[in-house]
Amino acid sequence: MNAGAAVQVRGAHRTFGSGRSAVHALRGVDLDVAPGELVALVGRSGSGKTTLLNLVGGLDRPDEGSVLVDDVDVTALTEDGQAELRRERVAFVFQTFGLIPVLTAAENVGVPLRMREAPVAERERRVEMLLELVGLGEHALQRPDELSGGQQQRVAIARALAGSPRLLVADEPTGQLDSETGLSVMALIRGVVEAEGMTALVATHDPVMIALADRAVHLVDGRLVEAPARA
Amino acid sequence: MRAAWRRSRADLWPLLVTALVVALTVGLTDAVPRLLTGRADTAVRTAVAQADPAADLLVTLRYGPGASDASAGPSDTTVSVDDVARAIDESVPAPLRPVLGAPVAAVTSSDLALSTPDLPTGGVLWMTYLWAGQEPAVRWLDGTAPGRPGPDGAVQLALSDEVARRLGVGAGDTFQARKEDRTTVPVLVTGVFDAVDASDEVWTARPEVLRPRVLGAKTEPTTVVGGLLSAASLPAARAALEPDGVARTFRLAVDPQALDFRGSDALVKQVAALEASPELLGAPGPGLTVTSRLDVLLLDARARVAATWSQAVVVLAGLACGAALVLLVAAALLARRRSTALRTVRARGASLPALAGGAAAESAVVVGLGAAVGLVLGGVVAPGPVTWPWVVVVVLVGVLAPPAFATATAMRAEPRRVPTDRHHRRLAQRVRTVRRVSLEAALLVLAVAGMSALRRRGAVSMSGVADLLLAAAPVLAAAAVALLLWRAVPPLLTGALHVARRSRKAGPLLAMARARSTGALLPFVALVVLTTLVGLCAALVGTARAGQVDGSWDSVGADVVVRTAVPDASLGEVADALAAADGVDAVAVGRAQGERQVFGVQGVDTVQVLAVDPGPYGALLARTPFGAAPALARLARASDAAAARTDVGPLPALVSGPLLATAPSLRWGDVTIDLDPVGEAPALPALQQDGTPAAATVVVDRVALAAVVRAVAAARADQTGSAAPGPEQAVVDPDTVWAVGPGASTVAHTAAATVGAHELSRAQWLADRRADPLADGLLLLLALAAVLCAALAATVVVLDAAASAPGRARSLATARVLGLRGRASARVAAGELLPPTLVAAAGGVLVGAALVGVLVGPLALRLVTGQTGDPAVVLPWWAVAPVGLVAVTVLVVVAVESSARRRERLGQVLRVR
Repeated sequence: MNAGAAVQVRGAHRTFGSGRSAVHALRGVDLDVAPGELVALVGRSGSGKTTLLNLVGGLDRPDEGSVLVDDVDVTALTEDGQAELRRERVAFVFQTFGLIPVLTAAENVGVPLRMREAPVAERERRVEMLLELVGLGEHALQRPDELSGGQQQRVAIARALAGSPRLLVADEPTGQLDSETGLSVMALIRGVVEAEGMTALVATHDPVMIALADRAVHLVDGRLVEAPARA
Repeated sequence: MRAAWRRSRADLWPLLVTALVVALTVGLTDAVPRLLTGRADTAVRTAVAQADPAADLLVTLRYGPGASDASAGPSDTTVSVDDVARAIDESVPAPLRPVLGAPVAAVTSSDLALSTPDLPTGGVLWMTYLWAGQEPAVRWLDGTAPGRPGPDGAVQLALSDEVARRLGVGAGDTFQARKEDRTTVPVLVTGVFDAVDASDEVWTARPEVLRPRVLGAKTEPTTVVGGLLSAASLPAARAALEPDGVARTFRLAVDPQALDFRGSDALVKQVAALEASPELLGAPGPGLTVTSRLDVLLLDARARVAATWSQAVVVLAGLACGAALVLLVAAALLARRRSTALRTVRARGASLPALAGGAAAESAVVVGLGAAVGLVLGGVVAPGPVTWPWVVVVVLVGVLAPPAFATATAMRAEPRRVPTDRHHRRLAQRVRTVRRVSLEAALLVLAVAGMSALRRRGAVSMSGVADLLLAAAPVLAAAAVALLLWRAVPPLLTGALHVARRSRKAGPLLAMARARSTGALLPFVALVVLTTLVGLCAALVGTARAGQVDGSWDSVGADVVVRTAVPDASLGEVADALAAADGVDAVAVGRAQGERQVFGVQGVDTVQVLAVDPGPYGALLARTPFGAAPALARLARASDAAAARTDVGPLPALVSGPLLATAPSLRWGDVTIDLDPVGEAPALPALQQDGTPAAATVVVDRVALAAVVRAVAAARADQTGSAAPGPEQAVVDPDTVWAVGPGASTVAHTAAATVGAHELSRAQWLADRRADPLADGLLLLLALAAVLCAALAATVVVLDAAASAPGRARSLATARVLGLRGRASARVAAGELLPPTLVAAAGGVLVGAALVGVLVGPLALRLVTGQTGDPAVVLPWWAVAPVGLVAVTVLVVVAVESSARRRERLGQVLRVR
């Protein structure tokens, strides 16, 4: 055990299906992420990146092994406990943005604060501040379908930051964006991770994102391979 | 083919719902018209079979002066009676032949007064010759059959054993029968007989030949007897009663079982034609007339059938429209579930006709299967030819809706995007608004026109396809109100959304935001229409059943009523027996005399006179829905002096409003008495004994009436030297006893039998009314339609929830990733679905109840309840059941969705969709 690690994954196995059609998504993965560290999770499609992120974020449970986030054993939590973990400590940025289409940008950003039943005035202040931070102060009342892809991902990032999480889990956050927009989103993630002092685990194929990360780890067929140290 | 099967299997449950809706609707709409036709046949037969007097066709003709010969023999009778009967039989129009029996001839003398040793007060004799293909078969107990007159010239006559004993005469006795002109006819009784078969229809022409009949008041009874003439003795009777003392009557009995509703219209026309032109029967003789109540009875029955049919058509039209809406909702769901596949196929180059054809082929199979099952079910319930119009409507909608929705979905090959240009966005929005407002305005105009026409013309006037607008008027009205409600829902939800935005919690915001954004018009309208139909049917059933109870009070006036055909003092004994019995709360005795004339300021009015003892009658009314009548106490006080009066003076009376400030006079028997209106007549039964609406009623004290009539008659006798007051004037005997109380009916049954009175309990009236084939059938249909519409409403809720389920699942999964608990997500789902559903259901029920208020008159519901006027609207508790049902359905849907969500791996939300 690495005491003080923000994320500790030990011997994580995850298999989908059974028998001959079984898919071994993770085969004994060990991973430590230090607090405030931005780790890029790299690997080909089907290598197990999303599965690992799901385990870390409390969206799934390993068949074997353990996952600790801030020394909390995620695998031992009940469903409500996992929901609380996601509400209090972990935030997500999805490749598909994951915004709720019937809510405005401001309302989407405010959802994590509503989950915590934050006071209305405090919530409104923080939403306004975050939208300004991601450069969308003027788009607060627009719905996701009225925003471009890059704007939607910025809203998703603002939402991820709203609850002041300890851990940011991002799955291909630039996967649906053009390179220029993707670059700005990556810079934004790098910036807020540093500014907010949070830990980030980002699954990506993008070399720029990998370059922006503190370190990159490779997943190959469900096994973790540490990448060479970044220059 | 295999791909089509895979696609169908993937959407199996919406397809099964479609087939089930088609099967149920087709089954019901196919079977109900046949069931109603059967009920209509029964109603026609029952109306004719229960007719009193009978509906038989009567052909009457005189002999005419100078046509008789006392010395003539049986051949004369054969010519004048038997041959005429045969001629009539052969001349009966073809449509009437299966319905009418062979003529039964009765040649009957005019009323002849007679007095015999055992009948010193006198009686009436009808000398009668009977023939039904032959003279009636008799057993001679004494003497022989009548023949030609002997040397004494007396008309020879045979008497039945019972008549002979009643008259106190036997074979060989003679007596004198007196004609109206006070001349006498000598009569010789040649024999006494017994009928070989007393039930032979030949005796029905003159039952008095076998059994004496007693008429009139018991204080002054009149015995009517018949004497049997033979073919040989009839000519002498004719000669003795020249010129018009003998009439020939040919009775053609109606066989109710040979009647049916379909053929009744032709029968009405034929009977009316014969009544108008009796010479069509080719019967020789003067004074030929044809009379029958058959046409009136059939017209009445047809009116009731027409009313019931119209009411049923309104229900069936509603049901078919409701089912069609459900099929549209199901088709929209199918297209939505397949939208990705449809757009993909379209993008790959598939033509719209090909896509439509594939969808139509699938829907044809599904709907065809459903319709076949429905037709089989309908055929099992009510065998007969298929009722195509309704079946075709349902099947067409079921088959055409899926390809239409599929084509529309495929045409939008690219998901519709909101134009980024604000001007184009507004323009597109305006075009949509104009299009929508035009459609809604058209529907509103159509609904208003339909309802106006229905109110003005009444549902009974409906006939043919052109009146489908009338039949569908309630559905159109419901759809129009649904549109208005639909416009009211967004402001409501926006208000709720504003409140939710100020909340700290995420659940209310998510629920209201989704409810505000995801509502669909078609399911909303379908839900409003269906719950309207449930409310309408429930309110109609409640109103009809409550109206039947009100009708029983209107018709009977108490829990039980005992009546005699003529006023009879012995009814006092019945009243005493009732008053002394347990379980009888109140008893009143009186006389209900219809068709009396009142002379007032505005001329002559016909009224019903109710002569009662005001105290007991007031106490009785207080125990009925008519309620306490303080005016009766006022009448009692005012009548005390009049009851003791011996000189001429006015009679205190309760009269109708218009007569209150006047000084009217009442014609009673052959005297006219002045009335002293002391108050307005209270609420009273609205129907007379014969079921006809009661005219305005004048209520008087029975004792005071007798005293005043006596005084007036005596004064007139003094002035004119005319006869002393007659029996009717001397006393006001009762003809009715009313009683209320749980045991009244049983006691009245026994007591009425002892005095030969007729007893009718309210419970029996109600049971008869509810057993009426038409009323019973209609109420059954309404209940069935209510159940089916409620089930369809629940189906719409499920289909609508399924249509919005994917979006809801995505939003809730995202919210759960952000930390929303599982239970909270179920509450969010319920919060999203419930508001519009409850608004639609509650709105629909209210619209249904309101429609009944508007339609109770046009639907002629009074024909079902037996009331004179339209019944008051009653909304039974189960009318609001649809609101609870759809709420429960929503909660079940939410529970099922939550269960499915629990099985879904939340991590999938992170994947590209």
